[in-house]
Amino acid sequence: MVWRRLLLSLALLAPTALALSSGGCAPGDVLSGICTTGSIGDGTVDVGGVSHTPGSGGGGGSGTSGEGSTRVPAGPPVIWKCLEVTCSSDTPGAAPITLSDIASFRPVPGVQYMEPNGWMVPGLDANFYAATGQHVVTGTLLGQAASVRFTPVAFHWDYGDGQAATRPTNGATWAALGIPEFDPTPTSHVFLEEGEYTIRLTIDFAAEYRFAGSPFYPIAGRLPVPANDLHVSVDGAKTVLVEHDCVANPAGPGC
Amino acid sequence: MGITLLAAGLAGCTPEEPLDPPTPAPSGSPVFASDEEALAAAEALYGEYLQAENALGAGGWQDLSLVEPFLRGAALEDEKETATSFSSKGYHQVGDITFDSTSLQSRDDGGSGSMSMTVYLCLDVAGADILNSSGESVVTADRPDRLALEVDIDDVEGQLEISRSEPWSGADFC
Repeated sequence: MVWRRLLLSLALLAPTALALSSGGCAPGDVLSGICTTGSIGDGTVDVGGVSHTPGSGGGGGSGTSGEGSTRVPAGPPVIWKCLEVTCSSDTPGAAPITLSDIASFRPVPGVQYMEPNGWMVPGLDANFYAATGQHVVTGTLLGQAASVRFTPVAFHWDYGDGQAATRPTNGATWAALGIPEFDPTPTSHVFLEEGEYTIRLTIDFAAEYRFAGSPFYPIAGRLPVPANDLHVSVDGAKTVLVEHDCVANPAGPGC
Repeated sequence: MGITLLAAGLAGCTPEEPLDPPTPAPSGSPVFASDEEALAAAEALYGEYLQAENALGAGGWQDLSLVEPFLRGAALEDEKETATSFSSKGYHQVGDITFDSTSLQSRDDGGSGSMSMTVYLCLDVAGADILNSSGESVVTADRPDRLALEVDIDDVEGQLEISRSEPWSGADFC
């Protein structure tokens, strides 16, 4: 749902904007003409729309009626029942909006990692970090080149032990930070109890939008995108005297 | 019985293909004794609802409480969404929306007083318009004056309520 909402905000910034209602049709929708049953032909669904020239009045209501047409891919005969197209007055014959155009802007999900990898010691800091960064996704909207620049801005970690945290940074390895292992980091977490945990990370992306050679414009809202889950086990650590290197000889005494 | 009902319900329309026949009601103690009785209740409900809907639009989509007693679920959400949008733009409705050609698609008597049914109907908006605060019409130039809707009606503790209203994408019988 959030994804769709962002798309709509995104589209609203475009010279030609699109707003979809939730699918049903109230009588008022039918009355306004934004509800139709559509007609399926040559692989697309043609749906009537309504266009408004953005008014100068603050309270709205100064729009003028017009005519719009939107095509969405037929595929299975899905029909967009309620739809509103808002066109600015200087839109030079905008090409039809297609659903695939709109759907083509998706940020690349981040990937989270942890140190130590897959296990932790109760009472000691475990370091979580995510691989992600600003990136641009290109596609077409309204038949013209369009880009969306996604920037990760917040990292929501749910540690699976009842604790959660939102961090402004994706974090880094202990080595990259130049500090010893098990030291606290801006993204570390201390598990107090032994057990099996699933750590979930959701990254919020801010988005900016560029259309037909324009500069990037910010898009209101943030897009939360889940990263991978980590499954870890928290075990107590004991220091024991072993013979030889347990990695080289796992069956050795004490290992 | 279903065929007779359909023929009666579609008087004035020329369907290109038959609609789904009504599903037979299971045995038990149905809320309605017959399809005809269920359809009559649906028509009465929708008539009252549209009357409230017209009053809502005439008042600039401000007073949702007019229609809330008739709606639940997705239908209520759609109504809120539309009313919020139109009222924020300063729109108001002139003229009345009407309906006709109601027919029963299916009904399901739960047997213990619960009931749900789906009806087809034609919504007619030819006599109505939406005006902005400057008195200009804001409806689309190619607005269909008649639209076939598929409407779900549920019995909620003895009270019939509309739970879904969507355009019927099958044969246009309006």
